[in-house]
Amino acid sequence: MERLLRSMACRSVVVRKACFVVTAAFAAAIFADVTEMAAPAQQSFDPRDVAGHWVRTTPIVSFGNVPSGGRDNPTVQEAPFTPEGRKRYDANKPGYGPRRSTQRNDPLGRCEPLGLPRQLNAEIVEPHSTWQIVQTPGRIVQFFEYRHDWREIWMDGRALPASKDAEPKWNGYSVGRWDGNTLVVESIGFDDRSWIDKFGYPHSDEMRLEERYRRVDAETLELVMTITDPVVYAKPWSSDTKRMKLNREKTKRWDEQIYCVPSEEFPFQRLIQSGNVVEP
Amino acid sequence: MSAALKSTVFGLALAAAVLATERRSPVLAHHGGGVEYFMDQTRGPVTGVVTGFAFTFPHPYIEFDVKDGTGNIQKWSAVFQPTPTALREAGWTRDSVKKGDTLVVSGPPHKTAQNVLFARRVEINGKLLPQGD
Repeated sequence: MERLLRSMACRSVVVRKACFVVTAAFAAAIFADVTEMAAPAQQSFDPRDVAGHWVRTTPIVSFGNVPSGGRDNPTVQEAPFTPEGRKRYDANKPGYGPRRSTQRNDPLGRCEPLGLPRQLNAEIVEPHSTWQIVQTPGRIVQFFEYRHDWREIWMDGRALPASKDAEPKWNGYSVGRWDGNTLVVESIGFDDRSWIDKFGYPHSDEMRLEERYRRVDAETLELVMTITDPVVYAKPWSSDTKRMKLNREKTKRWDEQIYCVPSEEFPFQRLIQSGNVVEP
Repeated sequence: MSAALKSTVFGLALAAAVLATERRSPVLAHHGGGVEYFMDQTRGPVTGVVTGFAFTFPHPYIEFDVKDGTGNIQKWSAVFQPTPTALREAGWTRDSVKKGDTLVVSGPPHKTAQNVLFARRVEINGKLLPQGD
């Protein structure tokens, strides 16, 4: 500590005590960081166990790497739109991100289901929401507290339905398999009314979604998504790596039951004049 | 080291440790109100009488009546940035604000909706309420 103090500009006796206080405080802060970072490596884990409550630690609100504020000179990996894709993107008016506007048509404000992959890009974040994965031998179920929704991933070796037989659904049809220690989930059959994130990126009912999950340590799950949708995107488009942290505390608390309730949501949307509410 | 200095060191170290944890809080990533409110302006303090409190998702809001200069009643609303979950963690319940309570509120005005505020500072019956974010 004495050496640390000398290395800083703490030479005056008058400021010495104050410097000691500040240095001790920073040392404590660094120690808190180090202990927190060191913890996961010390715990053993099964890389094929993805069960638990997960909370995002990366800015996962967008599918790509678009910053949420859109004001900090963003370096954006732009989506490889087809002309039709660009048209659909321009028609979507989000309340978030670089194109955010007061006059919007986000399905979220109308209590429509978020669908996939938007659920994975939405509010899986404390304090108001987390994301729980329950794993059984033949099936993985993901619960999304935000909007109180869930989807299932069949792990029993079944094949996806043929595209012509897959009636569009909000969360599609999903099958999973293990590729080494990576969980690979393939999905088709999506309802094209949903957005892929809150920034208004669209998809068609021909979207094929691949999710690759990897448990990198006891506390961390990584996810990379790839969308193949020839109607909207000229080539497969991958997300940046999303990271989630295991929340052991969450399992001890009540769930929030965050439904979208039209009698609550619509008055709110009208109050802030969002343009989201369209009378049936 | 004196006892007073020791306790100051401990206090500051604790505060720094808390900050080290808090700065990664994902709550900070929650969307701001900039799209709907003039965040660089403050309107108020406005005094009124509570007529309703929607302690609901996505963002709670208080409805209240304000008497204007000519004695007419104007309908106002104050919208919170935190979700009900965050407010509950700060100690709020759905009974924290009740019909008939006296409210003093100030915050950024809404860009288009008249008499709608982003609730930054809220007093109910003379008591300042903690914010959940």
